[in-house]
Amino acid sequence: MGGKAILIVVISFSLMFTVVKYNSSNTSSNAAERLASYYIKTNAHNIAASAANIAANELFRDPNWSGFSQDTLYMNGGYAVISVSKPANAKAKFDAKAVYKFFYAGEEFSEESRVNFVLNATNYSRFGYYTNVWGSGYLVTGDTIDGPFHTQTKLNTLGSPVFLGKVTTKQGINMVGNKYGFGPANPEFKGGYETPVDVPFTLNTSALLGVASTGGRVFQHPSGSNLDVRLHFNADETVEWSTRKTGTSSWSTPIVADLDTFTTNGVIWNKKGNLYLSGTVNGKYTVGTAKGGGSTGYVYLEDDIVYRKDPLKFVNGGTTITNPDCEDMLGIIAEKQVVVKDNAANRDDINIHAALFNYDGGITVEGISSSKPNMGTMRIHGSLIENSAQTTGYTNGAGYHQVIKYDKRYRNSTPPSFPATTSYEIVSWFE
Amino acid sequence: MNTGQMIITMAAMILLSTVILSVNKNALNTTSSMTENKYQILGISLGTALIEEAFSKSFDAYTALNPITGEAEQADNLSDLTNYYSLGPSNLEKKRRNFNDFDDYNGFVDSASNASVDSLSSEMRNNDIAAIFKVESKVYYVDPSTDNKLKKVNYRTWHKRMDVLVTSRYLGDGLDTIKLSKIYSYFFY
Repeated sequence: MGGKAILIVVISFSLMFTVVKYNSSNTSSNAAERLASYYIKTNAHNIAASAANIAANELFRDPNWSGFSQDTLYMNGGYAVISVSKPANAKAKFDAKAVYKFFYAGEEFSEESRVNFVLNATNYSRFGYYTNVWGSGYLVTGDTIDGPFHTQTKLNTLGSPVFLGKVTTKQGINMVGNKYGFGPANPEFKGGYETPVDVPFTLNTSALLGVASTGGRVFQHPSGSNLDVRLHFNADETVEWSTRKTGTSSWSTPIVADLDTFTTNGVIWNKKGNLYLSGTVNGKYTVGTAKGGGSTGYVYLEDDIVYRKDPLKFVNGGTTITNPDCEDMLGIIAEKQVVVKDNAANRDDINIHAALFNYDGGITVEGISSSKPNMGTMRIHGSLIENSAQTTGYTNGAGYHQVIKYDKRYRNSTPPSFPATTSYEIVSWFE
Repeated sequence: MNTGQMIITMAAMILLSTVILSVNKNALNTTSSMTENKYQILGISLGTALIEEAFSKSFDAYTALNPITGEAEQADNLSDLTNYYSLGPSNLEKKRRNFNDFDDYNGFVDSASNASVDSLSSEMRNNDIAAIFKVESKVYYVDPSTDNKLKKVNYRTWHKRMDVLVTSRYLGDGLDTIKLSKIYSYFFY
């Protein structure tokens, strides 16, 4: 009886020890699996991220890059399969799927990791102020630049001008202080500063003509001569338009057209000549003109060109916020430059709600000189893109006192087919 | 106690001894395995940390921020970049804290427990008891357009690959050398 009792006790102990051994083995096994998982996840992610880095470089150098001849890259015991696609909306999408296999303690472990990103062309209208050539002038204490700023040359500051958006330059910044009574060199970059950043200044008029030809509206003289086009936008979503051969004085009889049918994609383009603009915009449009040599390629503002509702709401003095009631958007493109006409309508302020693109100059005033009368304030609520700054007023009061406020909607949205750079920017990166 | 009971008792004791020995062996194995895992995970983390540190630096000495002017150059041509045989720290970058670009980590060797921003670029304290891990890194150019194995090339490209090797006498047989790699490519926004 005593022997049997001992045997029962021992078997009981053995069972308990077996459970302990099982749990211990499980603990060891789980730890090994976690280690293997951590290692292969790290490696798989590194491989996918490497493939994404490589692809980003290739796409930045060549926006039309569609991948290598072999779409599988091998690295550190794993591989990445890369895929580049370019959807119809001109964005490029990249996807890298990495697979990493690993043997540990006689067992095979496998892990997949993905990195994908989306590139889009940088649209010029996202800048509050873009100037290709800055020149030798200074931004000085008291100047405030609203929205993102960029120049392809060196920016000169004197004293402490304020930049409310991010500042980028290709050739750096020259900060000058304690000169002409402007105080120490201390420009304020509220949105940060980065250099060197390259955003080349280009205008593809053929692309705009193509877009206007397929669903938009193209103006061109039947004989191929330069053509002047006059557009007056009405708040009821109509436009009153007339034309004349450039260099002549008599305009055709104005025609009122419903903008829905006049241009279905919102682009109105004069193939070569000048454009005369005014009115109240209801909808989203891009209007512009190419040059045909000589004194063409200009957009003349004959009066205010504004949205039904101001895109900005003014709060606490000069501070602005986006007006949620404003749904209209206008892009104005001049292959030469935008000119404010010196006429009776413009001699008492001018209001411009638009993204202005001046490819061969900047916004200016017709016949501006220091002996001109004071014309009040030029208010630009939108975005100003120009090759180089032009004179709009003088310190003696001649011309305009210029105020430029950035329409923050342009950060995420643009007028239809508004010019974009030839390079890409990364708009999303997921890993 | 008769003979039968004696035999049963002895069999029981043999069984108990066998089970105890087996459990003991298993416990030792588990402890050893857990310890190895701890060092292996620590080793992977050290390698990852070094890669992340290198990625936080500029792509090349040419594109690094100039401490005097506060500005950086933008590399437009491959000839702007460091030549393939010169990858590594310059004479002014003896210490890790002075590394300002990715390829300064080429040839970097250190013992992890003593690693710090003041470590020298080629400082391995073999005789140091605290030197548990040996961390080595190599940086070289790769050319994915001609070689999908991403091997070292002897010319300049826009892609630099970093290999990090972590070894230790405490790493187990399953993972005796930890190898991590990542490619840093130059692209500007």
